[in-house]
Amino acid sequence: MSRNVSFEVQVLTDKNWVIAETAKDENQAKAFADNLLQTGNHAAVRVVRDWTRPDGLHAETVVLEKQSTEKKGTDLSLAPITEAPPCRELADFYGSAARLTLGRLCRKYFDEMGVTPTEMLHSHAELKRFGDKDRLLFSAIDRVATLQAAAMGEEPKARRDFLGKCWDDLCIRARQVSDGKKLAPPKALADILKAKPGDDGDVGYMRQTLMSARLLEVRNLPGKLDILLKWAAEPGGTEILPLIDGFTADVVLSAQVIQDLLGFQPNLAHALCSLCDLAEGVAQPAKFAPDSFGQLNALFADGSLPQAREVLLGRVARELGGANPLSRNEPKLEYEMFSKVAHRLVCHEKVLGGGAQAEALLHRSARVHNTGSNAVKQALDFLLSALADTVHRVQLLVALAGTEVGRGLGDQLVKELKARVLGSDHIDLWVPVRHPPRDRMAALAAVARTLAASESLDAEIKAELATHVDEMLAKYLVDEGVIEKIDKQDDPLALRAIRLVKFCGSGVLIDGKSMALARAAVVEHLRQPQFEEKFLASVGDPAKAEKSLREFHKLLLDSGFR
Amino acid sequence: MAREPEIVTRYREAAERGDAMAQFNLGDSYRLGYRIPRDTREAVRWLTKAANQGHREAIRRLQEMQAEGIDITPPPEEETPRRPQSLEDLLDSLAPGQGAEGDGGIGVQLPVPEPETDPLYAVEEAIDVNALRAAADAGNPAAQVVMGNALRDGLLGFDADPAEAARWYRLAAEAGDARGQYSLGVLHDRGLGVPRDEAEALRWYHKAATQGDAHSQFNLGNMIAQGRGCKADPAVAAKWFKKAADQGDGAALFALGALHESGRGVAQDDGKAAEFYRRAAELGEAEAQYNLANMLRQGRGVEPDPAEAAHLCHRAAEQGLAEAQFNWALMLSTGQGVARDKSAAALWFRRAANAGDPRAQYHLAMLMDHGDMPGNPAETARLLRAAAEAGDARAQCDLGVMHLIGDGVPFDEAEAARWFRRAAEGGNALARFNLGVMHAGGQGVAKDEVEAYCWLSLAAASPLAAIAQPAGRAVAALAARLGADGLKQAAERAARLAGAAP
Repeated sequence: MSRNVSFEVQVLTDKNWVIAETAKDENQAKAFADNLLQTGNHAAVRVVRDWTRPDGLHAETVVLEKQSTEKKGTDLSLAPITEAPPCRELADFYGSAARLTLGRLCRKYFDEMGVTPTEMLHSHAELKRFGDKDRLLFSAIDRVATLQAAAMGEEPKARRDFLGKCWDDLCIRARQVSDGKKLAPPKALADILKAKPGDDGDVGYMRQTLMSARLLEVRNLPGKLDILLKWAAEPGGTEILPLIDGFTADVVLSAQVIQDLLGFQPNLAHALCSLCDLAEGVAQPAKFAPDSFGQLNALFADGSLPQAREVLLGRVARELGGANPLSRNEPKLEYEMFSKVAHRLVCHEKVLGGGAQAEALLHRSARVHNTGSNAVKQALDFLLSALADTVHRVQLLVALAGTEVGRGLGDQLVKELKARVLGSDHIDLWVPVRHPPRDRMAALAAVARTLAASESLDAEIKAELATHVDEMLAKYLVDEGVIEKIDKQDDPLALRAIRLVKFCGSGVLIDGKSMALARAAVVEHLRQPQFEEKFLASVGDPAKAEKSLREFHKLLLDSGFR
Repeated sequence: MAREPEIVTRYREAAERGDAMAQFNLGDSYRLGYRIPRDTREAVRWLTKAANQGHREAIRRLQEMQAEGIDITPPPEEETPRRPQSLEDLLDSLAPGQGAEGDGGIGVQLPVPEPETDPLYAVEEAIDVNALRAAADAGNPAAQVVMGNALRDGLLGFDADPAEAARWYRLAAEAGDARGQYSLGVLHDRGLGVPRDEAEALRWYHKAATQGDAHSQFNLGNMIAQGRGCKADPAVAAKWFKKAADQGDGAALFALGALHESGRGVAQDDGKAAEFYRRAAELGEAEAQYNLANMLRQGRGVEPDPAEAAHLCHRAAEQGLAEAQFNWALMLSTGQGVARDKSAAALWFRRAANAGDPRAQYHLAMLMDHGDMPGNPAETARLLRAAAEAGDARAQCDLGVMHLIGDGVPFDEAEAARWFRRAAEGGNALARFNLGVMHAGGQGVAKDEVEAYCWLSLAAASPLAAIAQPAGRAVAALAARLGADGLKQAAERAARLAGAAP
């Protein structure tokens, strides 16, 4: 080969040919060009033969030009997110909030590549591929920096520089783990469990890297989910459940995965209720639901997937707050479907998903009643009137108190809450009459606990409202003779005493007047002369008497009697 | 700090003077980081200035930036140098801040919710029309039914063509498809695209019902209950309703509740009725919600619970059931089971009136007449006429009075008498009195003392003393003039009228 000849490998970038490499050998240059094309990051490549003529001028000849066979016009644009959680150190980038934001921002890219954010963050090859994808990385950093800077009160440029530096560190860390080579995927779960900590002593990162390597072998989300569920079902899976949760959270972020899991749903309202059921592990599979549905449901039920749960509830909140109708095919049922979703989210014990969900319901209420975004109070009135009883309404108001809207309403919200609580002075005004007494008492106790636990209400107000609920419950106990019905005169003393103590520890009473009433009945029994003798005598089988008394003492302690 | 390159300084000077090209060049330099440090914020600022002057390239550049996910909201302009505080400034600074306090939350904005970047779209089935037609042509019964549905309702880009829909349904039905049989039954039942034929409808419903189709079981039960296409038999109807109800069909659950409430075809049992209503209500059946609300209000078959009654009535009202809207309005206006709210009540009275509920139309007219709601006599008369034409006797009587005095309607004694007669025949005591007086005096009607005696004697039997007493006095006066024959004739006619009254 003449030393006056060289070959330039050029790639097409933004309508311009840019030199990517030079080679002395034509075949080597062509092979390099082919490799570049296969990475999928360039629309076209070409090899140009450069001959330096004896007179010093250059003659160029294109010896190869290839267009990418990649789908034309694939839209990888960023999604319009409006919030980005702050990142202050490298570890924050691996956190749930950052990964999910990345997943939502670059959804089209991840869908196209069949990758999840966690996998990308733990694979040097995937990080590089993302970085090489036109201006995607640059735009993503820019977008996140803008949002973070606004939220953190920093200069966008400083944020951008910080994020750029972090990106480099992420790449360095991933490269160090794989030592610059392609990491061999683990053959079995045991290989993941055997992973040794890296230089930084972080075994979790190593395990995630290995898990990512295995998951990257499968370029579709349902397939990844199957692998994750298989790991979770294996005996050693428990050890890495939090890691499985993180990967699962990435997977269930996708609408397509959710639709596949849920199967056919009559409308959006049913889909959202099913999502809530799944998040709580109480979902029933729809017709033709995949096998993974049952396994996933079981993991949600035992609380193994807190991150994935947050993802599902986050979707419920965003879909609910959005513009898609809850009953597209039957618009007449829009209110009924709104009521259905509202009662799935707001229950006697809590608002599922907390303040975010309460705010989303408020948005939907405004949409259903067409009140416009200015009339928050009107939308709130509509929402409250749609709820079945006062317990629901108070739960909603307390949840709302901790939100931006709640803070905006300020005194108005507190006034509303006080009116609802203090204006309802009989249990019938709180819980429908048809519910069993136990459920009615439990609902009141739950609302008192919610009030007491609220971090958004003043201590004085909380105490006033919780006391009112307690007094109402105490009044109910007295009016309905609840304690007398439990403590039946004709029953043996042992049975009466055990029943009463269990009642005190059942969670249906409020620490205050109502609890004091029940405890007083227990104390009255305990203080009677020769209580223990009478207790033992009242147990029919003398052989079991001592055991019953021991269990009774344990029960006393468990129920808070000292 | 490094000096800014001269070209950039020139751009800046010209840009600050308002030169669009310079603004664009400066913005683009910031965007690309060309000779100055890259700064998107500054780029957006200058490109927006250029774009605002119509610079096309700048507009395009901003669009490109937006597509890349860059926030193109222009940054706020830098503050102008402080000037000494004027008296106006001082007063402005003393003005109360804008906010939620005291304004009922009206000024509070709902923050724009975080959009879902990957929304659930396909939860309601999306249909590929070409594939559908191909499958239907190939003889797939399910596809034939969907084609029929699309043609019946004019969906999926098809024009409504019930006859063509019937053809597709028949193909599916004859192939033994239950949905096809049901749909063909519906067309025969309503006479859509095929001749109306109850026996044929019954036949297709029965075929589908025996295959377990819940909608057909319900429709079959309905036809049997009403005696359409066969002899009425509520007991047999109840059996079909039960089959549909077992599959969770809301309408069938409601129908069973109604049968148990009335005791038709099954033993009368309010408890069971309430149970069926509750199951149907939970499935969103507005009528069931309304009926259960009434039972809860009255404590029939269930423990009385005004609060739950109000909640259910509200749900039914929101679904557009006029009777429920009226009851809900009454609950709001009286504070029954819900906090009293006069303005909300007025809104619901109006919605019920617009939905055609005569009680609501009458009530609304009365609220306007008494000045409890804004309105005018013409509007009052319009509402009264709507209620009167729907058969509300009170409205008929009041409309008669309005015609008699020419308030909101033209003065017309004959028209007044006509409405009084309709109300009187409906049993309204005041209308009977008024009609009797008009007949006695020949006002708007021919003078007829026998007729007057009849109506006045019926009015005299009213439990309302204010009507009964003057009517009684008028009857006594007329009796003296009519003589025995007249009285006998009047008594016979009065008995006939009293018997005809509802």
